[in-house]
Amino acid sequence: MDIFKYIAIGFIGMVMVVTVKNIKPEYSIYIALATGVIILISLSETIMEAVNTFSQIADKSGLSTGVFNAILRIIGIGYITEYSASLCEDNDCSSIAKKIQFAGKVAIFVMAMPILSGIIDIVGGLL
Amino acid sequence: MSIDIIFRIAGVGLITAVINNILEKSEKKEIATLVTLAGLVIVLLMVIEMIGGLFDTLRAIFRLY
Repeated sequence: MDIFKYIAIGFIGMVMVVTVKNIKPEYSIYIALATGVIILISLSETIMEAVNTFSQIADKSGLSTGVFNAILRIIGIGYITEYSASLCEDNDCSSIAKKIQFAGKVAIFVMAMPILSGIIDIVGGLL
Repeated sequence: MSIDIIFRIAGVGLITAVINNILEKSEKKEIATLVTLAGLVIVLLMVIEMIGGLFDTLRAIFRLY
């Protein structure tokens, strides 16, 4: 996990965005997008390992797979919304970014409903 | 996923800028706008393909089916 590789990719992308910005401003958006995609895809192996170790721990600790999957999905949604919202803010359309964040919150809320009902059942059972 | 894609996009941007200048000098303004549009479409297709790949990998990782 050499962090310097990702820092270097980020810097290269930033330099290209700045150079292209005053020549052809439309292309700076694409370069920012491409750099983000490259960094995320090259990170995907390490994320996959982390998720696998987490799922093993969750299986050992007796957590039901449904809850763990929901948590994983929530993290994924949060991650993707943060990526696109910050990208929109980057190109000064923060209103769109706020809409994306709101959509992410709604999606996470909907995703969290089964967990909530599971907890309520457990608490009801205890009483 | 190598970083040559960044340089490719930047290259397309610079080439379209140069071509636009040439076309404007030879009083062909409408073709210049067409060239800009063509460049944007080409780069858009490249970037959309990358984003599709990214979302597929994220979907695979976080089981977001």
